[in-house]
Amino acid sequence: MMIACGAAFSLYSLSAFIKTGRSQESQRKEYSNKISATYNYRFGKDLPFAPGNPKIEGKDFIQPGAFPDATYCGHCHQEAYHEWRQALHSNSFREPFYRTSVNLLIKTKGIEYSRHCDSCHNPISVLSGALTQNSQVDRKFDQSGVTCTVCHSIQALRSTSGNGGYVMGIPSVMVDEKGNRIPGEVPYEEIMNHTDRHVRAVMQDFYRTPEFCAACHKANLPQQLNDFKFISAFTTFDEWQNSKFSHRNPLTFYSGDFKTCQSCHMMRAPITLPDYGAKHGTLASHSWAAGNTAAPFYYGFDEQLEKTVRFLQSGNYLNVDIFGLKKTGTKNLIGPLGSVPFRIEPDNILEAYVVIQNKNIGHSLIPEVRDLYEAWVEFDVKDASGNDIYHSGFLKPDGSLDERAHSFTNRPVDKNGEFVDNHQVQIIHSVAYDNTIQSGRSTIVRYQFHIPSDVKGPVTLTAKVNYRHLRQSYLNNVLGKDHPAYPVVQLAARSRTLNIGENQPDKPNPNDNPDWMRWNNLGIGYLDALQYSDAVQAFEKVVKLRSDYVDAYINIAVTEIPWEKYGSAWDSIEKALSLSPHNARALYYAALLERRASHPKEELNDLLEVVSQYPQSRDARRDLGITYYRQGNYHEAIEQFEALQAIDPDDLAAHYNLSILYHRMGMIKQAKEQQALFVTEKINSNARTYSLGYLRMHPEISNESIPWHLHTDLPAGVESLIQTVHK
Amino acid sequence: MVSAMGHAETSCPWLNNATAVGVLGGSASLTVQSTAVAGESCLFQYQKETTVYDLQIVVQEIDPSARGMIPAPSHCLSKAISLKGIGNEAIICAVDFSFFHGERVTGRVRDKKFVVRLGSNMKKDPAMTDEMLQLKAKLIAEQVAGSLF
Repeated sequence: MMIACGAAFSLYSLSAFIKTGRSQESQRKEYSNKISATYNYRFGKDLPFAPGNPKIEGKDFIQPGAFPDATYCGHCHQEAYHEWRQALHSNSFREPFYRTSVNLLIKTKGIEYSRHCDSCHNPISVLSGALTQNSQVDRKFDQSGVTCTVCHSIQALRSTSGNGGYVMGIPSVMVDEKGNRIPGEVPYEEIMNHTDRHVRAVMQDFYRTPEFCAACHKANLPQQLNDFKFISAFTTFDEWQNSKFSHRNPLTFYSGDFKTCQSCHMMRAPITLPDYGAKHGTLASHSWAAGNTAAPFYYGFDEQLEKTVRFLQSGNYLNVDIFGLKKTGTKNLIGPLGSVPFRIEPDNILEAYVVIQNKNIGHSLIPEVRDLYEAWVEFDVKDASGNDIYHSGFLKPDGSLDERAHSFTNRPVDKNGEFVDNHQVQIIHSVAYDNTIQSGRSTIVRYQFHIPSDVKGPVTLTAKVNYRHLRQSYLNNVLGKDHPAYPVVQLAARSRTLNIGENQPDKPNPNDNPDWMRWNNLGIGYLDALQYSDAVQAFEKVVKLRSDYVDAYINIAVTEIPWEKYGSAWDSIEKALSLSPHNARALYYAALLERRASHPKEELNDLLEVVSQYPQSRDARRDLGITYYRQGNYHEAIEQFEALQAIDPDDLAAHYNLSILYHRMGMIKQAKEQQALFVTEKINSNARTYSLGYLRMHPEISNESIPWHLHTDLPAGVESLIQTVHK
Repeated sequence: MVSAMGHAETSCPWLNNATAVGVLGGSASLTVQSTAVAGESCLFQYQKETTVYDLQIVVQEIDPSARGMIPAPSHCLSKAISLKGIGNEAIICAVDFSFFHGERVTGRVRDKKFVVRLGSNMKKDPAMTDEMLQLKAKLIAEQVAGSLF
């Protein structure tokens, strides 16, 4: 009898909710009609959310109140709510570092353009139609940014093009017996009685995939926004896909365990507050610890700040290696330091080779908006009394960074070649300089300094990678110059003390890479700086230290292919394949060499094997498409380029080749679409002109923009002067 | 009421009418003023029977020589509480005049000072408790500061 009553109550309640749902549907229609009457459809009636990419089920605008407030979720999910409140997702709209740039967009172009940014920063404002002139939408939701029921209501993903590429469902926290979503809030008791239906309403399998994150962690600047042309803005998802962590790319320098965005940024942690979502006392973190130290500092969210700093300094993400020294006037690189004996003297002019490896970050260092985020190398040489002999990458008294520091930043410029300050992305025409280290790769930073003739005792070299979330000039623009100093986090560092006179090998530090890897990273750094001869020599050292290491041979070939030494590249590939006959990386480069040598059958077979091992490899799909195309197999070529587009909708080679292939197959409409996409998305041929204008006016950045450059305070020609004095 | 300096506005530059209505609890009238001395201001008013609810926003340029200095709070009934995350140096306190009882937030964004005052002519209004007033005043102050960034 008791059970029957309970069931009756439950059925009654659910039917009441469903009725409420129906009335919400009519309320939505009424609301949407009201909004539509005065809405600015600048980008077309069929594109109400452009220049952003989101869609919503049912197409109508949705009332902001349809999204239950986070406090409603927080009743049962206290830990998640507590973490979210301090996390960037909840502050994604209101924090001043975002508001400053979006306010400029609104003031200069109009509020409708801010739909591009707010599709991710404030989805409710976009989907409710609030971003229009003289909006009459209550903006109290602004303080919740990406709230619980934003992420947990997404029903599908549009593509991996980003800019808010999601399909929003009507927020629901329960489904009925038939699986239909019940809109809006329901009593907690109902949820507790049907937790399975709650889970079905608020969780989707794809929430655990990197593609889910790609909806907002990839962005471009479409023509609708800048009245110019498509410009890729940031590609964090693509960077992950090309990293060793995705297991989708056979061409990485190293291999590693499969990890998603969530593996690092939503690590499970023991709960400190009650949360029904916890399993075995742990919950996937809703703090999304990453790199933003500025917002928690501004809000006084000490817990989030502490988590962020801890995250940045954990994980062995970066490796800093003071690899070697070169005495000016000699060709010999002394290294790896710590493993070889050497001698230095007073009055030596030395070049230090610092190798920085992006070892375990699943994306670039630093990802996304490098015009605002600032990571740099600080390198100093001190004498025994702690006095500076050389210092690069220091902060000046006004908080700004030494202009000649080696930084992992970029410089977007406008059509006048001026730096685009304040992140006004809508006026970017080119990027004059963009320095980063992609996942798994390394860079060599060279510093030249003079050992004083009267130096006493040892000298200590220290290389650090520092990071602050926002460069000083942007902080000043947002907050005024009188703001407190914002946090600078040391991500990784390494010191070496050198005796004046003899130096003997010493023990490595626990975090040091083994010597073979140090040489390998040096080789990668040389390769990326286009120093092919040095790169090959470095990889040959790896072969000597680890003759079983297949990638060492492949790395030699990878270097020799752009150097056009195809014969010796083939020898290295053959060696690699003799050690590992089905190595996909070796097979890929073998195919490129076979294409060059006109061995189409072998080229095709090798690429087919790579694709069978790595079906989501962009490079393999692209080259297999080209192989089929060259052989006249258009159907198969189309299949490959379409597969490539499914991996990256913005791949230019796919647009280009598909436009030709579709045309040949008589698919004129599709050919035109692909042609238009290619024209829109290809790099503007005038871009370099804008960049050169900027670089001419900024010699310090011009120097940095050259892959192989030297940091020094010494005047040009000082080496020969000192040598003359010595003679 | 028309601006002493000239043009009358139909919208407040820092807050839309719907958000003000949401805070005040009902349809509000808006008066926008702009004077060289007092700066710009918006006054949203909603009357329910004899109770008049006021939401006033004032934004002033700060004299460059006094930049970074916010005048000490006056008319504060309660001890001023510092607020994080609402521009710079924001504080909130209860204010009480013969005709107005409510909460006031004062703060700064770069070279602009803002004041948000929310309350009514009724003391101890059960429909708008002190706690609700504080929450709502902070919400509005955040909106105002956000639009000034």
